[in-house]
Amino acid sequence: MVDATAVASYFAQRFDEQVTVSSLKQTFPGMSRETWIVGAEVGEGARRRHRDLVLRIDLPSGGIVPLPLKTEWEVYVRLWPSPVPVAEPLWYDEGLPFAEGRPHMVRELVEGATSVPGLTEPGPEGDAIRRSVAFEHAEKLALVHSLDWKRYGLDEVLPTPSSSAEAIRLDFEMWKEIWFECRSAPYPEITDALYWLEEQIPTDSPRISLIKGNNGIGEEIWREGKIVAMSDWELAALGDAAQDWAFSQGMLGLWDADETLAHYEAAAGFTLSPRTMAFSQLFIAFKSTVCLNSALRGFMDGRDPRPGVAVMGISSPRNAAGRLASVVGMELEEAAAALAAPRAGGNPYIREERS
Amino acid sequence: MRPSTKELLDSIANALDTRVAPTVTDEWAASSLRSIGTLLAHLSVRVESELTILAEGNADLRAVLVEACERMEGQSTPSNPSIRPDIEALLSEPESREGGAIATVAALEEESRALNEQLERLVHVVHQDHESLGEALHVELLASIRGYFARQLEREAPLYAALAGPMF
Repeated sequence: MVDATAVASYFAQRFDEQVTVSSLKQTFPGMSRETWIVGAEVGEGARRRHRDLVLRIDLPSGGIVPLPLKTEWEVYVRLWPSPVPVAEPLWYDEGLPFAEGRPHMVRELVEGATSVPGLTEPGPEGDAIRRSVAFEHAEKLALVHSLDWKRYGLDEVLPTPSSSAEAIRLDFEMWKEIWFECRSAPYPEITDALYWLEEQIPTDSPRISLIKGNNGIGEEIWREGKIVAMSDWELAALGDAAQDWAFSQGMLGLWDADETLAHYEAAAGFTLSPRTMAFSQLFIAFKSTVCLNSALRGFMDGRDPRPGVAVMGISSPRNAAGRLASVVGMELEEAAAALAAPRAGGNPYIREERS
Repeated sequence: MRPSTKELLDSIANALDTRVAPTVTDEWAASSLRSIGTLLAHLSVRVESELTILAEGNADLRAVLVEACERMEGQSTPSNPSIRPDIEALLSEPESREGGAIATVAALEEESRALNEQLERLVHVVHQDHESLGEALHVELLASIRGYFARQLEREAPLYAALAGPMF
């Protein structure tokens, strides 16, 4: 059980000082892992100071994203000294009495918000904000994608493609393996679609890039119109940059998509092929299904009985099956366009609050 | 029994939606209520259609597998040499409704899973043994399998349409 007393006691051990928790709030929706914003008074007397921290904990069932929190932690550690803005990682642990032994990490809270005021305002003022936000996001993605990941040791913790031609295939194989291991039932229609999708894997990646995974509004920390921290690296990988655009949750719809991508390509120093962009949209639809459906295991064995997990887990593979089956055999660009129709109820990853 | 299960579920959903949800201010509690509402909408459809959907889907799938076995007779399937006898063995097992037995959702669900496992193995064979099956048979089998996928999606559409509400 995570409560103020348990957090204070645990943090006191870690800081080796007295800790009082003045505020504790679980961010919403944060379905994939528990994320708690902790306001803490650390120390006594003249040494007493306020700390705003973020505590990220695996769900009792592990997590909706079927990748270890430890890997996300290792990505934070390596990005902290890099030009990519992330919150300072403080520690990772697991197997402790705290939080029933669940894996968890603690990082500094970066002041800001995951939403941008005025983004939905109509008219020229809103347009100016949308253009600025789209370009800022494009610049930060370019920064991530052009990062010298070897220099920062990301290849020590993330599977590394043998060449840029293999940038997508390695990730595809990994997610296919996770799907067959973690799915709740056989889905022969998805198996059929995967054969087709595998035949379409592009090999023209301009380079192997660090990719963030889910990104965009709701994922990053914004302050005064700029991204000051990129959060939630749970799906980080070494692969093809186009995947991040496919998982950018509407960022290419904020402003003219061609203009936004041109801005990105100028900042990144390479271009993305339309075919790879199209493939990535289909691949991300599959990846999302893997995440949402694999969480059903925790629901069915009682470790994660949240009703939302059941909704996501039941509907996602059938939606994906229908959508993917309907595009099998099409040209990739045509298939991606057909798949682009948004799901009613919105994207499951869009968040409203800071994380 | 009246009220029916569907009527009871709809009543619960209505009370939660109109009487409880407006008073809930905690965002996690409100989120749970939204998910519950979506699940209740799904259950309201599922409770009256699941048995039929499962029974019709299983019968359809059996027919597809029978036809596939006939088409594959004498064909080499190197990726899975036992696929045909395995499917035939499954098809020879008594159906859930056979002999006047009353079908239950649990029995039909179990049967559906077994049939789908065999269908998935067949999908692998059709793709991996494309060459040994030959183009014409490959195309025929795929068309038959994909025809079933389309029919099953249509059968199940009301169940999933009811899940289109908020996830959380």
